[in-house]
Amino acid sequence: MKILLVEDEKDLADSIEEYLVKDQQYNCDTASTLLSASELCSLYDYDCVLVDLGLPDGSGLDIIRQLKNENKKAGIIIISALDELDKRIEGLDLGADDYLVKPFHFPELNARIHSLMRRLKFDGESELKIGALSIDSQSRQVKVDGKTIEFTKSEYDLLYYLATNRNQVISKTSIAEHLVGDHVDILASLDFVYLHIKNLRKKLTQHGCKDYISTVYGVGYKFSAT
Amino acid sequence: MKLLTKTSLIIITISVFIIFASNYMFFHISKMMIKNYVDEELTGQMHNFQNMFSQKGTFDNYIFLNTEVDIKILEKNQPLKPVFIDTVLLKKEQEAYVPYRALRFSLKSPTRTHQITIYKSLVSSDQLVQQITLASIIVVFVFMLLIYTMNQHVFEKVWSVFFRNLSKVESYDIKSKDKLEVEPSEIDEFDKLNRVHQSMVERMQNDYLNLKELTANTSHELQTPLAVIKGKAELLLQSENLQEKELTAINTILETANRLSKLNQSLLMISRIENNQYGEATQINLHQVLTNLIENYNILIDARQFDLKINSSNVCVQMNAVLVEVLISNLIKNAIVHGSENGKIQINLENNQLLICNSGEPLNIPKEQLFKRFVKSSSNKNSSGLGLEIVHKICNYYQIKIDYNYQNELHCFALDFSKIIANC
Repeated sequence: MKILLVEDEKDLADSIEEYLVKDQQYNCDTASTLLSASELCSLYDYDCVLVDLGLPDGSGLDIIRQLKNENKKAGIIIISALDELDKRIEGLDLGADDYLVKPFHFPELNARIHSLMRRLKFDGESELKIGALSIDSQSRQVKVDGKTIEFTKSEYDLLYYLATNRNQVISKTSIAEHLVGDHVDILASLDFVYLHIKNLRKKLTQHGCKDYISTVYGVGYKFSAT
Repeated sequence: MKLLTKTSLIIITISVFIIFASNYMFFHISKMMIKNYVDEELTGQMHNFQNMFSQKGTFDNYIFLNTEVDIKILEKNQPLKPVFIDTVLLKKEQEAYVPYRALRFSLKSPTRTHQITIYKSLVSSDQLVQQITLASIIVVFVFMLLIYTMNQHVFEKVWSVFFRNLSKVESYDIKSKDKLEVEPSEIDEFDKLNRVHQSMVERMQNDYLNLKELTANTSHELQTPLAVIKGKAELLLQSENLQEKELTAINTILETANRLSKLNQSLLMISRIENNQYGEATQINLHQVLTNLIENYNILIDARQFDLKINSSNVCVQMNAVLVEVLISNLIKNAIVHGSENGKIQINLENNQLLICNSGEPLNIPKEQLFKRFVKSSSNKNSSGLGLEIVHKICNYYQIKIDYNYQNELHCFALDFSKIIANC
C-alpha cells in the first residue's frame, strides 16, 4: 500500500514515515511543501494521503482539491493542528475522509488508515483475519471459528484498535483516547481501559479464541499475532 | 470630598479671615481719619478764637459751633502750648459718660492769662464709623455670596469636559480594540491630561496585545516540538528488546508530552477565543451535541458507575460548531472528573437552559475562583485547570449567563442561552 505524507516539519515527518514504513510495512513518500506534494500526486497513484493543512507555501486544502479534480481515488486524512480546527470542516467538505488533531498517537493514525483503507476496499475485502479470529469492519461483526460473538460498541472498538495495531506496544492513554474520542484528563479513569481489556479477553477466551492480548507493564498492552 | 466643595471651603475660610482683618483695619483707619478731622476743626476754632480776642480784646460774645468751651484763669502767668486731650464728660441729658476730644490752649490778656479748653463730642462720629463698618461687612458678605455662586457656574463650565472625559476613561475597557476617545479642551492642562491618558492607554493596550500575542505565538510554536517529542517516543516504544524500565521511562515521556500538548492546546484555544478567531456561528441543536457527547463519554460514565439522568429537548442556538462542542464537553468532563464515584450526574436541557449537575463534596476553594485558570480543587495532576476557564471564556464570548450552585450535595452549572437562541 502506498501512502503520501505531506508534512513540513521534518522531524515529525521522519518519525511518522519511520513508523509507517518500519512498523506497518507501508510504502511511504513524504513531501514537505505544497509544490512537491502536488507533483507527487500527479505522478503517482497513492492509496492514502496524509495532509497537514499548514504548509510553508500554501494550504494543504489545495492538495485535497487537486486530488478531487484529478479524480484520484486516494483516501485523504487531514492531520492538523488544533488552531486549524475550523479549516478541517472545509477539508471534509472538499472530500477528505477523516482528520486527526496533532499531536496524535501513532496507533491511532494507523487505526484510521486501516479503517479508511477497508472502507475504500483497497485490500479487496473488509475482513481482518488473525488465526481463528475474524473481524469484519463493514458489518462490525466478530467471529471466532465462523461463530459470531456479540460485542458492545466499545468492546468492538477496542478489539479493532488492538487488532489493527497488532504486534505493537499500545499505551493505555492511546486506547483511552481512542475509546472516548477525546483527551481524557483523568489518570485514575485509565482504570476503565484495564476493565475493558479484562472483559474483552474473557469474552474471547470463553468463545475458544486464543488470548492474543498481553500486558506491557507500565505502558499498556500488546496484541501479539503473527 | 469633591473638587468644588474643597475649593469653596478653602476660599470661604480665607475670605472670612481677610474680611475680619480688613474690617478691623478699616475701623481703625476711619477712626484715625475722623480724629484728624476733629483736630483740624478744633485748631481752626482756636485760631478764630485767638483772632477775635486779639481784635476785640474780649471773648464774651463768641459763639462756639458744635463745641463747648471752658475758660479758666491761670494762676501762673505763663502761656501754655496748645494740647489735644481725649476725655469723657458726664452728660446730664443722657446720664452717661460721652467721649470728647478737647484742645487746650492759653490766651494772654494784658492783665492775666486764660486757659481755654474747646470740647467736641465724638458721639456722632463714633456712630458713623460703626455704621460704615457694618455696611462694609454686609457688602463684603453679599460680594462673597456672589463670588461663590459665580465660582460654581464657572466651575461647571470649565470642568465639564474634564468630568466627561473622566467618566470615559473610567468606563474604558483595555481589552476593546477601540481607541480611547476623549473630548478636546480649550484648557491647556486638560488637553495635556488627555494626551497623557491617551498615550498611557495606548501603551497599556500595546502591552496587553503583546502579552496576548506572546501566549498565542508561544502556544503555536510549542505545538510542533511537542509533536516531535511524542512522535519519537512513540517510535521508541515500538523498538525491540526493550526492558521494563526503559518502556516505563518512554511511556512517561510520552504521557508528559501528551499532557503538555493538551495544556498547550487549551491555552491556544483560550487565546483564540479572546482574539475572536473562531469562525462563523451557525445554527446548532444543543440536544444533538449533547447526545453525541454523552455517547462518547458513556464509557467513562459507566466506568465510574455514575447514575446518569438526562432530560433533554430540542434547543437551538447560534454558535460556532467547534466552540459549542468544547463548551458542553468541558462541562460534562468536569462532572465526570470531579463527580464522586457511584454518584449522580444530572443533565437537564430545556427552555433555553442547560443544567449540568454532579454529586460531590463541597468546594474547598472560593466559588469566585472556580473559573480562574489553574485553580484546582482536587489534587488530580492530570486535570489541566483550564477546562472551566475555557467554559467561562466561551460563555463570555456568546453572552451566555453561567451560574454555579451547590445544593443538596450537588454541584450544578446552569447556562442560560436566551441571548443566542435560534428557532429549530
